[in-house]
Amino acid sequence: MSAHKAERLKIFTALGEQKDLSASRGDVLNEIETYRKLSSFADVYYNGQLLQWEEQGFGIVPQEVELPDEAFDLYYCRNAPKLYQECKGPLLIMAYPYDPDIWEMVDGVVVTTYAWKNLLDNYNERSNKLKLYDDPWYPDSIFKPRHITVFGQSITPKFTVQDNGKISKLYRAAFGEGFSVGYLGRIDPTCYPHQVIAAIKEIRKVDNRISLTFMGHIREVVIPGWIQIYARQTLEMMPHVVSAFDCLIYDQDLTGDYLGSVKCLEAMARGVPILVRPYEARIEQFGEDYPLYYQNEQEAEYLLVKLKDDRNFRSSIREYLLERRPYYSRENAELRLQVEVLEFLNIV
Amino acid sequence: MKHIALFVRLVATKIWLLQKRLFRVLWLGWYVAIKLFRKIGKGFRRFVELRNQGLSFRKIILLAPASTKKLFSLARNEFNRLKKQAKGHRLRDKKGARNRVELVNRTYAFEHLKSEFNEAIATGDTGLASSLLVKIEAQYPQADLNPQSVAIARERLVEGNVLNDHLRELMQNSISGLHPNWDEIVKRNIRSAKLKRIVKKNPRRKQRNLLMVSHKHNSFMFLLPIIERLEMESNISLRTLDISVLHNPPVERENSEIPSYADELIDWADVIFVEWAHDISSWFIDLVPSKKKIILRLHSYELLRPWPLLFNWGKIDHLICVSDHNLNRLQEVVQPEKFNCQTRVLPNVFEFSDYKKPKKQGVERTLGLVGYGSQNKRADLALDLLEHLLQFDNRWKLKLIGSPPTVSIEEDYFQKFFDRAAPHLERETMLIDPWSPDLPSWFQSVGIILSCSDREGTHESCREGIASGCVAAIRRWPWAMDYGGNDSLFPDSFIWDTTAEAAEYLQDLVSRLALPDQGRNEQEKFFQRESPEKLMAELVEMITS
Repeated sequence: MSAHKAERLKIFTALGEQKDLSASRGDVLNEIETYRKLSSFADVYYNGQLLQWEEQGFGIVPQEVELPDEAFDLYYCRNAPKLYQECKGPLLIMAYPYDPDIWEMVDGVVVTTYAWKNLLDNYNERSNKLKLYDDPWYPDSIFKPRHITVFGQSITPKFTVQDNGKISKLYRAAFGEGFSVGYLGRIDPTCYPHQVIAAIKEIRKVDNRISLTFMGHIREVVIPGWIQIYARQTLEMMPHVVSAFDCLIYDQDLTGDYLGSVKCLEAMARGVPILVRPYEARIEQFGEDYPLYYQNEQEAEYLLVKLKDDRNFRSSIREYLLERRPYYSRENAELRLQVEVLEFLNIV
Repeated sequence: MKHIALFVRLVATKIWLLQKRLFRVLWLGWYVAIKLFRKIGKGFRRFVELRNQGLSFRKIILLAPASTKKLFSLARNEFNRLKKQAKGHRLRDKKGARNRVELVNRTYAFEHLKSEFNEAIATGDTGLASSLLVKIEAQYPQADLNPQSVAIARERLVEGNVLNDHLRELMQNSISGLHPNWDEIVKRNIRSAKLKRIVKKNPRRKQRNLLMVSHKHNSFMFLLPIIERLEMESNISLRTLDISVLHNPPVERENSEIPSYADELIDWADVIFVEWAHDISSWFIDLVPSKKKIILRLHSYELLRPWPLLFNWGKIDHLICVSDHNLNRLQEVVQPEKFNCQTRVLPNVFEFSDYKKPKKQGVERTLGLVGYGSQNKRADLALDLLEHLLQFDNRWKLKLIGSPPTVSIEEDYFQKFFDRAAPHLERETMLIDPWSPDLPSWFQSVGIILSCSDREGTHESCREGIASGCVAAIRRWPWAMDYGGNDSLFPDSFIWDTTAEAAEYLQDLVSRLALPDQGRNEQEKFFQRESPEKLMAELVEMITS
């Protein structure tokens, strides 16, 4: 199959059994962002209907997910196994959930980071450390996919829009002024930031100007009373919310070794320091030299105190993040995506 | 008829919920019984099996405690499983039922309010009608009411003082023993005022810890310039608190009315500045210990609700009102000074420097109105003014900026307004800009800032317009008319009663080429009168005294 066509590629996409793309869940929003990037070089059809970005609901009429009769240059589906059997291909599917039968059947899987690609490439020979970890997505050994394509994440343009910062200031006031640390997104036992919480609690003993705010859906964890839990805000407000914090934290279990994180990219887009663990996927996003990696409570405490007290350190982090930002801009991610797709189509 | 239908729906919902609950209990009992019978049957079969294997009855009995234990353990596990499952069902049903009941109650409450409103209009009790209108507008923005009735209530709302009606209601509650009632409120306020005198409030140290409190992030809007300036004061340590999260916590917190981070902040603070005098602020002030110094700031819309009457004025040390007429309105009904609460008028602080931008060419015949999407701003009067001016000179223009109208009660008003505006929009004598946070840039293309409102506290955008160098043409707000007027807010600007007067004044200024001078004069005087430094000095004095 040759991908070098004069006309634009035609890509079929489907997401689970979603009849349209109206849901505002994280997975749907991430997929919409991917489709948008694919649209930069291809005509993207969701469930057989051409996505029209200017139209209400992207011009899609809700209908049962099924494969149309017409042929496409590429089929990219996520969690829609009932389509895979009949799909003429070339077919790419998201690399989770894992199903050996499906992985054997499809032409390739899609991941969001190169760390993830490396993991799947060498999964059966992975390190003992990772073998000990009971991965929620993959069993002890997996069927090696024929092809692994990286659909890299990118920064939504609204996060890079310059404004007068007034709304961020309002949020800042709402979060308590002082030195505000924030955790954005779902909080459950797999990502509850125990060590940073302990570190902040320690710092508060000598300086109560530091505060911690959670904003997101809380599941199966009890939040101590000294942490502020703020109501979730609309997506439009999130760039302002991110900018309102002096520092953000991001925590994850060992899946952080390969899963991408848009939240980290959003912090990067706004130049807000974010404390992360030195997992492969985070190193891929932030680089080897990023100063805000922590591995334990003491390191987190040291970094938070330095960020709080050393203005120069804070601004150097900001500069570092803003320098890395262009790599994750939508335009650059689109170019990389195009290369990945064409490469895949040439191989298949 | 509607009431009966709603009542029937409410009863039907309750019956439906009751039968569901009953059915669940019956079903659970049946399920447990079947399971137990099965287990007992299994035990009996096992007994027969063991007998067939040749075991004596005595030996089987000796085995029984272990088997019984196992049976009980199985039954217990089963029960726990069912309990857990039933809890899930219960929670789901409870949530669904709550939503249904809430919806029915909401519709019922709205219908009730609506009929009360119509009755008040019919009996001529415009005071009651106006207070009901405020409630309806706040809770049911999509409500459909008779436009003529709305107009009557609105007029009464603006020109009268709804606080009097609320006070009457509270006094009646005193007679009938209902809560809240005025006697209790006054007694509580007196008690708190006495306590305030006894409790030593001011620490003998220079450093003050100040906690600024507001409700939701956007309500910090008028506090931002103050926060920025106070952060530069060396003798004031500042923290902020959004009480929206405390009043309605998104997660359940055990054993505490408010979370400990708020407790810590309250404990830390010497002075607590509470922004907006609404019900949530009143709730918060009740939680604050008496030894703390409390400063409350009242803007304008709070005076449309009963809230100012419910405050524990005995606990509050200072009340700041943003304008004289609003303080006068409040004092007509309740006198905070009686409870040892000092009152002061202090306009909002804002940074002039952002607005000092050069005007574009040809703006001297351009009128501007900010926030046209609310009927209160009376864009129709701005249009009247434009039409008057166009009779003198066809170069006049009117620029509006703001979000489009959304309140359904105002639909009729805006329909008429847009019908009238259509030819002007076509000829471009009227321009509508979408809302932009960058007002300083918008003012660069406006020469005259208008205030045509029925009700205002200070009309911030008008002050901003003056700071940008615009000439102001301000209506004598009906809201302020009987309470000292709005002249003291804009002593150097032209205050008009009719649009014809305003048109004459503006045409005269333009024809004499005096508009830029007048703009500069108003701007300079305004800077002198309300410089942030001057206002902040007063505020800092209040905090540290």
